[in-house]
Amino acid sequence: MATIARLRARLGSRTLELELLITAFLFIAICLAALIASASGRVRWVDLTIISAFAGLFLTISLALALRDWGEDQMVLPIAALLAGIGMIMARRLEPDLVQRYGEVYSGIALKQVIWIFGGAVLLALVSFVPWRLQWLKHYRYTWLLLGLALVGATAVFGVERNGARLWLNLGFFQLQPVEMLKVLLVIYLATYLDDHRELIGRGVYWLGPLKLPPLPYLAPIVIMWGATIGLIIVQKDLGAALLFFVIFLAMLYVVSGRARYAAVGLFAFALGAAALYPLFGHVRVRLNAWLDPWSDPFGIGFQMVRALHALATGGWVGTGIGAGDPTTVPESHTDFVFVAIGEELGLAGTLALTVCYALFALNGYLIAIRARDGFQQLLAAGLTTAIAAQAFIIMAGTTHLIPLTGITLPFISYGGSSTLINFAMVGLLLRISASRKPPRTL
Amino acid sequence: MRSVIRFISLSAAAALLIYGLLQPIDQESRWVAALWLALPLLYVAARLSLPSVPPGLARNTQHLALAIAIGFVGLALQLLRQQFVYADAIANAVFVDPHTGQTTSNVRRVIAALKVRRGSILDRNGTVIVTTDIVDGDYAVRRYPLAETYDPTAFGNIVGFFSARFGQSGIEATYNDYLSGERDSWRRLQDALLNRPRVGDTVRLTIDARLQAAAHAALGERTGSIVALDPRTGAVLAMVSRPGFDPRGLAFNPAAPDRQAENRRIDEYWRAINAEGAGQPLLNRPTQGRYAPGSTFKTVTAVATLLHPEQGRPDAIDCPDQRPTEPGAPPVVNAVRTGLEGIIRSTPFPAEPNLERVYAFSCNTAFAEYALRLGPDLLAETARRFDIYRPQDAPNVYDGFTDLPTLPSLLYVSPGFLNRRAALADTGFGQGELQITPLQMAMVAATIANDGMMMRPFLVMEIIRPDGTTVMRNGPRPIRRVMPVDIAGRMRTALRAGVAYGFGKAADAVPGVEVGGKSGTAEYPCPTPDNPEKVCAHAWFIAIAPVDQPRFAVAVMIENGGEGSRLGAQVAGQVLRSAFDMVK
Repeated sequence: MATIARLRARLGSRTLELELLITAFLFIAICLAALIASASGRVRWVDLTIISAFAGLFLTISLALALRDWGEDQMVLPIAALLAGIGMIMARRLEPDLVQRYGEVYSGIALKQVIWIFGGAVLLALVSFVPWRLQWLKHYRYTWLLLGLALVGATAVFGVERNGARLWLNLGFFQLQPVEMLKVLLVIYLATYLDDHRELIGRGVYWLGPLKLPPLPYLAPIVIMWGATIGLIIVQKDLGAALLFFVIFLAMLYVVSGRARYAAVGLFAFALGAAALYPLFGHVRVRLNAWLDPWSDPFGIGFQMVRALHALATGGWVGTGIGAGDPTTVPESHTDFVFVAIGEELGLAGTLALTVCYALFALNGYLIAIRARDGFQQLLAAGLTTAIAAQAFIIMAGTTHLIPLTGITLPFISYGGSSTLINFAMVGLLLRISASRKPPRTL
Repeated sequence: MRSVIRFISLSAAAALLIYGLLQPIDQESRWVAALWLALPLLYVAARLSLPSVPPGLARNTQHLALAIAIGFVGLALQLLRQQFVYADAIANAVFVDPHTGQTTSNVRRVIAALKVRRGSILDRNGTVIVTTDIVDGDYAVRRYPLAETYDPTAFGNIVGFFSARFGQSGIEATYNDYLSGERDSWRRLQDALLNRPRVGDTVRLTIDARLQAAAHAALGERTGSIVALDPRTGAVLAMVSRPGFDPRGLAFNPAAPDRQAENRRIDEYWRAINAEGAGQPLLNRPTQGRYAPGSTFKTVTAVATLLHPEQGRPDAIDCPDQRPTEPGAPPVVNAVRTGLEGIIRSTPFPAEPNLERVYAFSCNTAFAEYALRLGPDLLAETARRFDIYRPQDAPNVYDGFTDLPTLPSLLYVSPGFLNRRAALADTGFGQGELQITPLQMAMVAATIANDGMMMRPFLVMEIIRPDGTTVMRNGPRPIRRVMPVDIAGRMRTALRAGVAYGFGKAADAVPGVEVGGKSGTAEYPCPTPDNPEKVCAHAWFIAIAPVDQPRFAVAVMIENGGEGSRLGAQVAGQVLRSAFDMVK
């Protein structure tokens, strides 16, 4: 009897997550129904199976978390599930149009995305339920560093080139995008490094003529990170990842030091570096010109941007309705430009809702960071949250012409295996950090 | 202090945002700059509102969270502008490259236009002139099924072309709202909600495809116009403009194997019909061409004398070879330089000259005299009854006929022209500065045929929804009574005289039907290098038949066609013969 009462109490303490998950499933089910109605009207078994499995998987995770009763955060999982569900619907919606417009390469992306999401959910469960200690992340810091460097090196040597950028590693069954992996490794390494050196604030100030320089433990990584990201732009032509990594680094540096000056100087240095690359590298120039005036060359550099602006404007404030727009007129509508595709079909209502979702996710993530039990976990949570929030902001702002466009995926929503898997793993880490009642041996 | 700074930052941010939101879409960089300036101010204001937290990781994380949140606020503002404030402007904007002239517009509109199932255009008997076929799944293509029977060039000026790139003309343009289904907002809403293709209304014209084709053929390769009206109702039975264009040449077929080749074909045709020397096929000459009407205008002068017999004294007239008008001006002469009065006095039997005979033999000096007797005001007043305007009264477009772009006809062009006696005399017999459309001359003939009541011409008989119900139906509508019934009767007799024994005999081409008509030869200088004094002439003819109860009124105008009494009368006769063949 006592056991049943305890179980009931545990389930009762986790109702918010359950309610939010059910709301998300309802929304996704309505989207799917609208999509089926506008496409053919025929309900296929595979759709029903997938959406039931999707709901079942996340509900199981939620119930398991409730029964274990570690007291994890209740917001991040439903938001991730909602966003992944929207991504699943968008892949399902875009696949036929992509196949019709761009060829057979795109057939099967909807099913693949479902597999990635399910894989991601399983990965999240593994991170959450397999007994391991968060301190391992700290202990094996150099392993992570070497793994990251090895990934970069392997990509540079064995990488597969696509769209002029060498960003993929072919693993036979799966093309890995090491940048996604690198993102997590960077956050973990920075969290350990900065946590080790946080006592040095205010000590060992250097003077370079009239310039006051930060202490060496800060100065050195700033310079190294700056060099690495600029190198990334030059070697891999990956502006988006470079910007994201640098933003993550500056954010974590700020969290540990509280010096806005470092962040400002860092951003300024990044802008300076990009400006120096401007005349030298065509891809930097193209991106910047396309941002400054996409209409100057609407068939060349401005093509994607012009198409994206038209798509967003066509959507208006309520959108054309899912399945009723023509989002594939924008190239890469299923990956980098999926936000624009949603903007066309769900309108301002949909894009604002997504913005609010990411903002809520971010605020909740920082709340987890503030409440975390030690400096390392605080930094780790802040870094992971910044990675997802900043990535979402960079691509959403890029596709809406707020900042120069740099190609990265929209977390949880964009089609892509590496990014979906890694993002769910990050959510798993956040959940683990947020667990307020975890037993001491798992710390 | 904190609240002051907060207030200042908030106000500055609001001012920047309002300034930015007011920037039009081609100044978007200003908006983005204003937004990026406003966001730090918002951050400052928000941070001053935060509860104070002791320094440490928690406080720093809070600041970071705030910065990220402000970033998302900026994104939301950007979305508000792109998707709400300026959504329609961006979606509809067409950007023109200043260097190449190439245009960029929302590709969805082009595709949507290719999918609209525009309604058909039929002739009065239901013959399909233009319709829409569905090809390649759901693309619509404009087809001209009538091309199997007739030359589609004969119909280009009326139905017009339809092109996603070059727009529309003719009925396709005037009735675009109906043909595209845009007009019916309730049905459009239903279609949008149910994701159904938009289907347009069918437009049924008053023209008879057989007569239109026959009239087009009668004109041969000559440049000119033919208008055939039903005088009793005002219905346009045929309206030919030569040279014409083939609307198939501009109709895009989305199912073409090579869309680029298809676009090239259309480009080339567009360039060809707009080329110098192509003769402006896109101009609808019957309503947009204005010419000196020559002697056909004597009809109006004759009506004026009959309406004002005291001043005009229609039957007290002579026909000298020359009539001086004012000192210094050359005297008015006749087309037949000498001895016209002798012919008039003897044909068909010896009699004194009267209105009927000087009209039938088109005596310039007689009609110059009539105009001088009437004076500028009475002549202008009668012309105005026929909707021939003095320049100061003329509207920009003629509102008596709105189915196609139509210019108003003018009695003269330079201000005060009629105050000179020589000018008044010239105008009286159809020279001067008269600028009349062929449609207007057909209306003059039709008014006489319809016992003096001028009917509003119309080209669209009815508009039918896809479900078969009628949106609108046109019927006879009078413009005004121009002259009493008895004067119209006298004018019909005079018109008959012109064909029976006058200069319009060539028009008497319908067996068993009495045709009435008046020729016109409008001279204009056409200097060539060899002969700087060379004079060319437009050939005109207006006709009605049968004279006692007219069913058809025709105006023929042939640019540079020489004497109206020959070519003009012949063509008018052929058109009337086809018209009567058709009714039989």
